[in-house]
Amino acid sequence: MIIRLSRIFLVVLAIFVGAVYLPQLYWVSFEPRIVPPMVFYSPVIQKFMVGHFGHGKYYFTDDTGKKYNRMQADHLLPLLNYRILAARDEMPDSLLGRPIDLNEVRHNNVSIRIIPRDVNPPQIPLYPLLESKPLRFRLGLPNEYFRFNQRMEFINSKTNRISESMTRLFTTALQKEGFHFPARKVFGNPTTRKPYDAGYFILDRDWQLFHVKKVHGKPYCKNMHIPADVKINWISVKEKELREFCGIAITEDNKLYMVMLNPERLQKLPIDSYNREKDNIIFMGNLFYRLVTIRSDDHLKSYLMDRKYQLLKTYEQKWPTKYETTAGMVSAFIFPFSIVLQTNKTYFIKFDVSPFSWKALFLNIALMLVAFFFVLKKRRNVSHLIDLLLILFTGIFGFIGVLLFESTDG
Amino acid sequence: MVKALFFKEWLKIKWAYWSMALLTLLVLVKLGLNLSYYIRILEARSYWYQVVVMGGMFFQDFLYLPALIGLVIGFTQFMPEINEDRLKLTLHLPMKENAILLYMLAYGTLMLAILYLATNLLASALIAFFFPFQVVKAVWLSMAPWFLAGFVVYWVTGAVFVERIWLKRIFIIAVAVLFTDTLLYHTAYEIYRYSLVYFFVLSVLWSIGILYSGYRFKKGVLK
Amino acid sequence: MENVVECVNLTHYYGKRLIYENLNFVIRKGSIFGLLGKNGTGKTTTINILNGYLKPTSGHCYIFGEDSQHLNPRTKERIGFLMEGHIQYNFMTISQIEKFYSAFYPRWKKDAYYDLMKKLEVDPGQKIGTMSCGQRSQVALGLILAQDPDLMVLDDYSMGLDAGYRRLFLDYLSAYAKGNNKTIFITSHIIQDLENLVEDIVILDYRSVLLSTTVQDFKTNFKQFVMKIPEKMDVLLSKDEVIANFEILKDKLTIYSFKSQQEVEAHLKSLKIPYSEIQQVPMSLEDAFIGLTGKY
Repeated sequence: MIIRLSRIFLVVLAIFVGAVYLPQLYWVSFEPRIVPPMVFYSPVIQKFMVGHFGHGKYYFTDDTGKKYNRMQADHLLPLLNYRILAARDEMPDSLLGRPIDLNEVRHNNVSIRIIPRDVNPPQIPLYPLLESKPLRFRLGLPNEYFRFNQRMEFINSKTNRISESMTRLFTTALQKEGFHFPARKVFGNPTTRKPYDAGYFILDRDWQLFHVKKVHGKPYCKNMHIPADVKINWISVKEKELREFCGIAITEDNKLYMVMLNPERLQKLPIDSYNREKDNIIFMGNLFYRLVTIRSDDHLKSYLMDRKYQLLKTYEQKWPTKYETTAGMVSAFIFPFSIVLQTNKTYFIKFDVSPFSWKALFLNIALMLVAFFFVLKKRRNVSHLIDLLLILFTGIFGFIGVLLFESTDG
Repeated sequence: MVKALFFKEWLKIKWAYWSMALLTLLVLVKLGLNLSYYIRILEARSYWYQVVVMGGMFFQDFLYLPALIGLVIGFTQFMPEINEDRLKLTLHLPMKENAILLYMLAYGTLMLAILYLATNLLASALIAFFFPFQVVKAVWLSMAPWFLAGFVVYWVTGAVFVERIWLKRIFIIAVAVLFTDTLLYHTAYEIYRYSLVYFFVLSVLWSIGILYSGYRFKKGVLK
Repeated sequence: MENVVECVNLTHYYGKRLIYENLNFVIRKGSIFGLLGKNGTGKTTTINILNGYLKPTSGHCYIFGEDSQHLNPRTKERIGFLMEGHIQYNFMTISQIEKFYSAFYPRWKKDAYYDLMKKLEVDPGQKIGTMSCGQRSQVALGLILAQDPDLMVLDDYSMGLDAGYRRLFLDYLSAYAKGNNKTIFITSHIIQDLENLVEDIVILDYRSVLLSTTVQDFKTNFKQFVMKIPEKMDVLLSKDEVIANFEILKDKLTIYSFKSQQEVEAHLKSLKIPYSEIQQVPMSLEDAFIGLTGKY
């Protein structure tokens, strides 16, 4: 009967709302603060240094377990702390057998952080192409924004009309380089607050990667001829003072490449444990090394490479997530599942339904018995059976739903 | 007979409907004026930057507007039926009671759909004057769940009014408010891209809630 | 002669509060039936059950052979329903409401409605919500007459009406019922009007069904006896099989009974009541009703 259906729908909606909000309420009340460690590499003692911050502490350990306080650690990480050391006049003159100049140190220090949220974020597919060699040296916003369809179309923001001349100019340049329209994705860093502009990296229909810039108003288009088996999923473009590279590329199968400049090419990174939907990339480069840490919610792996991106050493560490704390374990007994709509891993709203927690069956059965003996005692029929089954599988959510919207039978 | 029912519903919502249409028009005018103002004052390329690159949402007036309209139409349509138990007259008409309730709700839904569609078309035309199609499409997709919320609020209002017991009304309202909240996130453009279909399916479940209340009304569940 | 309405063993509780048990009655086709009782005795409860807006704790009501909880639209078409207070759609005008209802009832008699409306002297564009109580009752009456139903259910047609409108209502109802084989079910607590209208009655009291009979029989069998007794005497009297009800005011004792005068006098003597000057006083329907149910 449609009325039974109407009531079941209301119960389902109550279960949905319960599964979204009750666990949320629980975590807001009980979620413990978990501060993951940060990994560095000391060129002085040639060991990984792990920084432990948070909960009022601030100390380092090396991979043998030896502890260092902050002052000691400063000396072991001179390239990172050169400013403090120089101010205290404690900066060494040479390192790893070669003299070091502070400007050189500064120029070569690079850090890039890529979080899952920033990979494939929601984006309106309109892009400003900055002039990369501006006459007055300061980067400025152009009047035109481009988009891709069967051409690279430039639209003048003042008039909201297509600038045919610019469109033809760039489209022809791209076609000359072998670009197959339309573009799959466009990657860039549309801001004026950066040391220079690297332009855009554009993926064409056949997965070829092109580098596009505007130089003195004219198009610069280069087909990067990347290998056919490399399918780019995302490029995080970050222009730094050091012009060795201008970003990090992620492929469909989660492999990582540095986007090198002069000439533009991809340099593969020896990293195998990255998942772009869950993990953070922490890239730290200095005069001697490249250290890339891939960090998820419960574990990290750091890769130490030389300046030629050859793997030297790795370091791994695990720690308990919130689900392994007391609060987390209790939650497994209360909530048979949870629905999370908003996470910090992405801007998009998704239905993230957690796997069924068998531990909650104890509570589910208890609630089922309470319902059977005390609440639903007046009605013993089919609808009653459906209610009990609902409580068995959805536990506390179903229990509340069935109480809020009582059956229409009997 | 259905025509007569629709006639009755129109008589009830007439003034509210035109008022809401006028309100929407005012909001649209405000949108147009603001857009033209910002483009003039900030310079087009900087304002485009705010919108396209920074993801600034200039149409947040539409966040709660559909829900408000749904509430007002629902109120004006069902309040007169519940006042002095007039619903008994309506349900006494020679049609199946569930059919009567559903036709009443269908009428309101249809009128809301017309208003929402018109709003979207006008807003799109306005935005298309200042921005290319990519922005218009992004705005459409961002607003879609807000308009869905408008329908949900309307359906729930019907169910709440027909329900006679205050405690039950509060239950329905509580679940509905929490649910509707999940339709109104507005942190960035098009964030519902992957989940809009699921939300649509869940939202539609609210549409027959009024039959549950109607059944309880017929049974004479205690005041 | 078929039964238009049959109620069998109706029992209803609101929570733990009993309204009545085992109410049984039948409304014959072409008759006018009155459900009488003081406020709060279950009249509206019964109307609600009849119309399918209340599920009785136990028992059934059948209208034209169908369970009142699940009336077919075809059956609803044959039933005219007047709500207490002449509730109608206040937001409609006189012409709009006629246009509205006419779409639902194939036998709609437009003239019956507009004849009444002419007498009202209101603007056809006037909203019902702005009319007076009496005018609204006219509209409600006109609508129900235009519908031409086989069964009319009127829940307290007299509420809020002054004498003139009440009389108008009754006149039209009588005219409608006579010779057309129409059945009418009325509830009311104003008894005097119904005397010349209703044929069968059921009288309800708190938590019980007092009587189910015809007006004729009621007035014939139910008697009032007035007598003198010594003042300030502690008279031991209570309701029993002979004394349906009684009243003492100073030196006057009034006894209501279904029994004959001889039986009453014999009973009084057996109870050793020193009475004098006993005489039977004739009663109107209202007197009889009050006599049976009491003044408070």
